[in-house]
Amino acid sequence: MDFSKVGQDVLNAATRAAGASWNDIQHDFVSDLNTVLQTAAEIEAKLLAGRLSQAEAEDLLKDQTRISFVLTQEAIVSGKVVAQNAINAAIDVLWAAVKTAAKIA
Amino acid sequence: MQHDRGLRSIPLVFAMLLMVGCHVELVSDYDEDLAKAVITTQKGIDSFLQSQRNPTSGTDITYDGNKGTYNKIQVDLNTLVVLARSHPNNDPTINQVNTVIESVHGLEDVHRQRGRLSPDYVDQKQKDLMMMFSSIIRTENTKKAAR
Repeated sequence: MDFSKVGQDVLNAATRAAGASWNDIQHDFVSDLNTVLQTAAEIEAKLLAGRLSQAEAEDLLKDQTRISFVLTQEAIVSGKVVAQNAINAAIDVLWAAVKTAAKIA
Repeated sequence: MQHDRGLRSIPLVFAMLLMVGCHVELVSDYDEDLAKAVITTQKGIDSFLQSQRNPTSGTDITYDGNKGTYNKIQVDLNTLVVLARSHPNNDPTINQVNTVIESVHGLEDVHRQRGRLSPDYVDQKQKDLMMMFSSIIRTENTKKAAR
């Protein structure tokens, strides 16, 4: 498996998903992703050494993909929270301005 | 052209929201019940894997001896799905829970096929599931920051 390519693909997907909040979560995400990639390499080595069966190694490698997916979902929520907060802050300001203009309490 | 039409509708949507003074909701609210259920499920799975990894004397570590535990874990996971699906705009959390379920099914399949699990497999599976559960809890906590 080309671990560096897989890592870059996952990183690109997460960056797109997180949008403006990427800077906030980048550190944790990259650290978790590095763990995933290192683990994938260890699984390959343990399979070759006979410490894992083929079925076990296959499931554990799938887990690394599953973890990447779970982390990407986390990044999506972070991005949406940033967008939601920005939109709602703008609505609050505009609503306050409208109320002032219309003299609504 | 469709893109232009989409852009033109943004002020309209904004004005409509403004008229009713309401907030948009792109993510579901934080759910304490879900967060607690995730922790309970994680503990159950972790204690099962720990007993496989380091069994006390007399512990049956075969698949047949642990079907009941798998059934209990499945029920806990089903509860997570129900809780996650009970909120609108909650697809990321639903996807995360379904992914954990896939991983647990992978564990059960391997156990069923081999009868016993190798120490290296159990060790790594424990770490993998911990990472997934941690991410679900972090995701839930992120929702607390939403206004």
